[in-house]
Amino acid sequence: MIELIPFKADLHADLLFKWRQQPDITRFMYSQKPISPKGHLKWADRVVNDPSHVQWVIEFRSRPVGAASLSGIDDENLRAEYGMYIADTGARLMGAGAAAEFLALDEAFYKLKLHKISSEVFATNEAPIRMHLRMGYVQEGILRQHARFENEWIDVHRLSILQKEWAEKRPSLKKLLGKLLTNAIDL
Amino acid sequence: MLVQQTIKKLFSQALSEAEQPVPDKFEDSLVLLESGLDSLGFAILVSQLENELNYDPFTLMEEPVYPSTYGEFVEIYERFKDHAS
Repeated sequence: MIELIPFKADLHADLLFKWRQQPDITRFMYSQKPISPKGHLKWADRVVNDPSHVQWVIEFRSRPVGAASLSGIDDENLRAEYGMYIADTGARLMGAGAAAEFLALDEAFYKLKLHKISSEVFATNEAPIRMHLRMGYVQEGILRQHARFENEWIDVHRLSILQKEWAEKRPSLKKLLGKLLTNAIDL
Repeated sequence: MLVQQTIKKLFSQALSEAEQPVPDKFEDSLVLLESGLDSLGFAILVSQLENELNYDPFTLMEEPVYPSTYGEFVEIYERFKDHAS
């Protein structure tokens, strides 16, 4: 029911360009600067060709609803940064974000064989912080006044999860998320 | 009535598990995204509702329509209750 589709510039660039301008998405991003179509295509071309970046489009019931990525993949220290947004409000309410993150962590730990995934979440975005903690992430710290939104300084929570922590948490989450994870890999 | 009671019970349970305050009364106007449930909470809630009620209205719809308030959420489950297996 949830799938991570590898990002293809010719298929998905327009969609992500639209999503990246949604105020409910950009308010939790580090950059609030407007993006140009040309700049976006440059970004799309870069991520497709960057071996340290994996970009997905999240599909929920065969409809594209958001985007997820692993960036800064470090093949020496076996770590990467996870980022995601769900642009479709309905899919947010069906738990698409949690299910997509489940699949992305599987990709990170069992396909890419990484050791650690980190994530940064604005303090003002409380629900995803709680979700990460419930999925097994550990808070490493708070980056004080690390971002600025509408002239207000925002703290950013730095969280991470190790492969062994995911391995412990995964079975119970898989059971809880039920049918959303029909595409999850069998371990 | 069974549908409403089941939703209320499982919604309360999901909020408790997420360590969020459980309201005494779930107002129909409660905005779901402001209810305190995170994405994992919603995923678990919908999955558990399917287990208890034996149907998932969101897969039965021809065109997906998603609720924004608690009242709409209950109404969608009520509308499809005859599909319970």
